[in-house]
Amino acid sequence: MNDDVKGTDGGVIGRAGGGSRRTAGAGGSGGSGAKGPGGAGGSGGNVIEISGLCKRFVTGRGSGRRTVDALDDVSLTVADGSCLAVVGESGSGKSTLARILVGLEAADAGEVVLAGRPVARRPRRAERRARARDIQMVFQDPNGSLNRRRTAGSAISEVLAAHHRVTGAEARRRVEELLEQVGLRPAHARSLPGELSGGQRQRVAIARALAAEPRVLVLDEAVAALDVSVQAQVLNLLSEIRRDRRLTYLFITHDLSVVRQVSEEVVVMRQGRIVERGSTTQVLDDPQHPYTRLLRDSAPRPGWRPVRAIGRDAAEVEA
Amino acid sequence: MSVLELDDVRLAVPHPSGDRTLLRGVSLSVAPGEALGLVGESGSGKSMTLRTVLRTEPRGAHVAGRVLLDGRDVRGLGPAELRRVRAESLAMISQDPRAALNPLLRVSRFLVEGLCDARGDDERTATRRARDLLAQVGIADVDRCMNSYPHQLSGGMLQRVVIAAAVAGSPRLLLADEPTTALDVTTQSEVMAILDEQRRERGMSMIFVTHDLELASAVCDRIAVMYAGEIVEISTPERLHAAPRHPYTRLLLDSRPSLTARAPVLPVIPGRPVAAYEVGGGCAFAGRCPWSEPGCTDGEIPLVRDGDRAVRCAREEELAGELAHATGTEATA
Ligand SMILES: Nc1ncnc2c1ncn2[C@@H]1O[C@H](COP(=O)(O)OP(=O)(O)O)[C@@H](O)[C@H]1O
Ligand code: SF4
Ligand SMILES: [Mg+2]
Repeated sequence: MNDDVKGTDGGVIGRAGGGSRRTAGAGGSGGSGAKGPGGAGGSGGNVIEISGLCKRFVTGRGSGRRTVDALDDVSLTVADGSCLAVVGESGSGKSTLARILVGLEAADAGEVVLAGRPVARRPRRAERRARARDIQMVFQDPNGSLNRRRTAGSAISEVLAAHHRVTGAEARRRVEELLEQVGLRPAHARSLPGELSGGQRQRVAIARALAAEPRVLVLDEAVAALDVSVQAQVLNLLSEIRRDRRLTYLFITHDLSVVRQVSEEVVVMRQGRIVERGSTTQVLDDPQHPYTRLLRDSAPRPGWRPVRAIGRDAAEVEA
Repeated sequence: MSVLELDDVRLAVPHPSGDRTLLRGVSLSVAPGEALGLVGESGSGKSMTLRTVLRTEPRGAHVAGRVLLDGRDVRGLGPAELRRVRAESLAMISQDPRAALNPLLRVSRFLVEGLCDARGDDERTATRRARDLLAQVGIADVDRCMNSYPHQLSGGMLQRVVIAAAVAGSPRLLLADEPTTALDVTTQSEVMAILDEQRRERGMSMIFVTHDLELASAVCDRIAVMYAGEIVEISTPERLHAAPRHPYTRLLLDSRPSLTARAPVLPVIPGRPVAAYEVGGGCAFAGRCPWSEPGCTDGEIPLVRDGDRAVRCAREEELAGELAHATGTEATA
């Protein structure tokens, strides 16, 4: 535990090596290509290896009973220091994937290997805590992860205490450091979420996630609710943090322009399955799957016109 | 004559620490059959502008200025006249279609009752018309849709039902407030195409509120860019992209990541959007503008018209050439 407290960026990276290599290739044919072009990772292993992940939700009862395969045999790998974008429409299973990865949800089948360590499907407490240190999540709505009555500073120190037993003056110093890293001022430590703008709240959520000194950030639509001008700031910030801290990102978004800007590789999900994967340039410039093409052609851009596809609504009726 | 004309509309709401200004003098006009996009970041006053037209501004709000609908000031209408104007001349489509529908009524009841009330149709005529309308907004299985309750339909289907109801009486003016923001991109494309087509076919005017400049550009004849409770630029989509005349518009265009090319660093607008009530004297954008000069904070800066475009910037003429080119990341990073 103490090693982690002192875990400087170098130390964190150091842990990547052997462990990952041991299981490299476990993603098998499902791998999204281990080494992302421009992947910052020096050790070359995969930090995330997911294979055959399945998750079915059952809702309603009696004649209203429905099952949804939120994840249906999903496999992917994310190389150390790279960013994998996951795109798809709402309900395609992106968030379920994220929630299983960080341990908020249990898979029905399949395997998750994090930094070379297989993750139990229903982990014990200590294991869950260790995982929370390795992998942190940032949500679309920071209100979901920030307590209304808790100042930004105390939200961050909570994580410092929980994962690294850092308290007192040392914690205050770390809080200031973290706030600064996400472009806030030390005075913001005393602000309640309600006193901050949407962009500032999202920065606090990012600082809080970084406080655990994770190796992986899972970002679920983390910039979707931000205004354009603020979104650009946060996207730049996330790229900078990834480079400086040599973090690995799983970046969930519905926005292909954001994919282009942040990720080296991308997987396209539809109805719980990965329908296409590859380097961001490949997938966006020369999409192979009709669904990827539809997604791309639907994105507003200069010269774009909305188009009417015939008979698509059949699939939209949920009853 | 314009279908709608807003003349120096100002709005403030009561607040414990004194009245808060939300609109600082909005002037715009919409010609017959024209679609005007109202674009800006959250809190810039887009929705509040629409609410002054519908007269649904917050309770206790002080409103000044004129809102002329076909030449008549809706601000002065009595309750009965207002109801008639709303029913005959205006239709609203909001972000959340569920808010427009009664969760306990089937789609058929919602549409048929609306048609009977608005047009005095009998039940059979109204039912036939409702079915036609649903087909026109691209619903393939009309029976199934008619028999569904709102919770049984997806957001995209519901929004099409709302569009069908909105265009049914061919009102003079459609007010659409982020109608596709809650939808997936593929559904957005479909719903926008339908809205655009229905509006054109019926020769209706529209104000389309959105934060998405590209989306507005695709379906609007002109775009008005709002910042801190006022309009800073009006232009056609083509000219807005080719040669924006206001620094904020330029930076808004540049800071959006591109679908086709990755920027080493995204150009950013420093700081955060300000609220209308935080603006002091001079240009509201001065605190974030890379081109700001001491003169920019003196006095009120007028919206200067030039044909069908207008811009509110003290340095407009000087900057025209420079703003025609995208900002490099070094200029604003
Ligand atoms: N807790 C849950 N209970 C029931 N169904 C769920 C639950 N979470 C997700 N689902 C369903 O699983 C599918 C995938 O959802 P999700 O992972 O949230 O997709 P995305 O994040 O891509 O929008 C959807 O059909 C969704 O309604
Ligand atoms: S008036 Fe001055 S500060 Fe305002 S937009 Fe123009 S140049 Fe920038
Ligand atoms: Mg989601």
